[in-house]
Amino acid sequence: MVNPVLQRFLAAARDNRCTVHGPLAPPAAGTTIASVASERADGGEVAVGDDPLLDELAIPDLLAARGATMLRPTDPTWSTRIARATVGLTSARLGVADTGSLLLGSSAGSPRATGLLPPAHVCILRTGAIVAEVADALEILARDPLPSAVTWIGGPSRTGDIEFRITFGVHGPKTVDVVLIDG
Amino acid sequence: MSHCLVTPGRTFAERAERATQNTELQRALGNLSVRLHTARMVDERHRDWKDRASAIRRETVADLDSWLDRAEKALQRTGATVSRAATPEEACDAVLDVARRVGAHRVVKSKSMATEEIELGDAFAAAGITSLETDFGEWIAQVAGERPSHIITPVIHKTVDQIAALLSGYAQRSLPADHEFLTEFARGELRPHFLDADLGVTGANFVVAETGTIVLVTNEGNARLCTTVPRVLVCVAPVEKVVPRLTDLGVLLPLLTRSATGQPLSNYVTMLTGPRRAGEVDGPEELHVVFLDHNRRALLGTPYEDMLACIRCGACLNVCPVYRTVGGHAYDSVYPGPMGKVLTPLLSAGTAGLDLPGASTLCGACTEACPVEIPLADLLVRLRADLRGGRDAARVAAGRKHVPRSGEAGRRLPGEGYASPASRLALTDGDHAPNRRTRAFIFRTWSRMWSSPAGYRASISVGRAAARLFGAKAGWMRRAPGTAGWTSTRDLPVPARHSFRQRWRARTRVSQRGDESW
Repeated sequence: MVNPVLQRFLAAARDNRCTVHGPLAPPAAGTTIASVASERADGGEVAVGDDPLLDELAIPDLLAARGATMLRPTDPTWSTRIARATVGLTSARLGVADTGSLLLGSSAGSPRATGLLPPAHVCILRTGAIVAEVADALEILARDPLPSAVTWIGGPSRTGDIEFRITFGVHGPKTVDVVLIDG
Repeated sequence: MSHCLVTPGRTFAERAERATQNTELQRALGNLSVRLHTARMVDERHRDWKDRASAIRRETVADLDSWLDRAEKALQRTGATVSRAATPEEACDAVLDVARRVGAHRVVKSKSMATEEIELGDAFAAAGITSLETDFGEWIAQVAGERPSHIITPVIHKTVDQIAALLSGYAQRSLPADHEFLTEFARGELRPHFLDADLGVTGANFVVAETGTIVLVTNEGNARLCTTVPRVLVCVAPVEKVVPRLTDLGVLLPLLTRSATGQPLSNYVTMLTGPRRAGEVDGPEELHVVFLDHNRRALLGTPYEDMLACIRCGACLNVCPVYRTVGGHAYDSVYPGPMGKVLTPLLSAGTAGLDLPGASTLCGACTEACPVEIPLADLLVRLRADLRGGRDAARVAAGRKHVPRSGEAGRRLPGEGYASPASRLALTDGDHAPNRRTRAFIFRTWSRMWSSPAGYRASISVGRAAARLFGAKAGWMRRAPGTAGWTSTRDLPVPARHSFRQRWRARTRVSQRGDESW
């Protein structure tokens, strides 16, 4: 069965130049996330949040099995190593179908820099967390106290500052992979 | 002013003339055509969004002081420090106070028109603090020593060849005129500065009164870096950036970004609610918000109040035939284009940009493009009248209380008209008493003539005969006595031999004879 909201999200995310994987059931999703992350890492470190979802999917073990080194925010050297990490792996709280946005909330386990400083961003999103419009996401955000930072991400860092020609990667991540998980 | 004037000239008319002769600028401005239609996005929700956004902005502006108080309290609850600045100088001082207190030496700035308005870059430089513009276009403008020429796309006045040459000089090696290459070059140059910065400075697209949330709308990610890495963050927010509720952004955000760039939503939206919290490893430990007034609140309750609804999308610039012809620098103002022509005289309390309201064809494209329904063309007409009538904008803004001018700053020089076309018309040139009396006599006579059908017919007959006299040979009227300034840039076709009324009478006679063939 085709879920129209999901279809809209897929189209919008691709318009934003995201690479979309899935939707996948949880065990397969874990494998895909680890493969995508270790491939993008290209030998560098993968910055991972302390999000329970990542542990549920056994991401740390799967990454370790692929020989990828992980950097977690609890590491005392996090703040110096994050600048050299090559992948940031995050999980989004919400997705917006209309705009292809991924919403990240900051917390002790989810630093802002994870999906920002590394040149590649891999983001996990549950299909059940995709809402239709910007307004729907704001309604949900408004229910609870806001985290110190909510970041809405469309795709790779972009600019049109020279002659309106769109180029990617001027400041933020150069690539964004979205791994969709059923449920 | 430390910025060099790209398009020099004392008046808008002089600068505009130079701009139209600058072939490189004209080539660069050609790129604006891709943004022509962003304001008229193809989306059935647009009409509804426009109505709702206009209502939200009017609701806010109608009770601005109260929303501002609520925003201040909410920000304080989040742990932010709030200060209010009446003038650009006070705003700069507030930012510099923070910088000095925390011992900041290296500042990274994300693009903000408010910080352009208060000339914060100059203030940092004067205080011996290095501040780096990090938005790609804004950085290019900073390297060039220029002011941005567009509120969304700062160096749209430059071609890729010019930018490559400029950055080659900066890098002291030859860089190719390639968009991708230059983007990567900027990344490599700027990233170390982010990691090294001790103070971040941003503007604000919105400040949510209900939650004390600062909202930044960007595409590149430099605002994310400015609000993630440095230990201290200062946001400079003009007072009208306040919105009542978080959910109001459901309309304002998509409308802003669609109008600005045609995107359903900008690539990044950053919502900051207070400084970093216990346990967090990044984000600013200190968050300071400076609310900037700069004569904005003086507009409340005046006919110019609507201008405070502006969300700075730049759609009015992109559709404006004047902006598209002369570019942003001809305005010699932080805010160019239609919104700048209204805002500049108002923010300066009638001491700057007095000829800008005249730099308009009144075609109404700006009004039509405005996503929050600001009647820009009407405001321009009103400003022309108010400024010309010898009342300065501040007096109008202050609810017609008299605001004395300081020195001669507010006085126009003779011959420095507001309207570039009108100022070229000899009859309206300058504000000397003889000219004023002549003008009044001419308009009174004109009014009397056209108040009766007989007078109208007589004046048209005389006018047509005179016009044919001046242009009969060429078929075009190229000049007429007393209007040299005006006709130097305009040719009028010679009127038809017979007027519509004469032909109508003739036709009626013919049709009474049953002949419809003419």
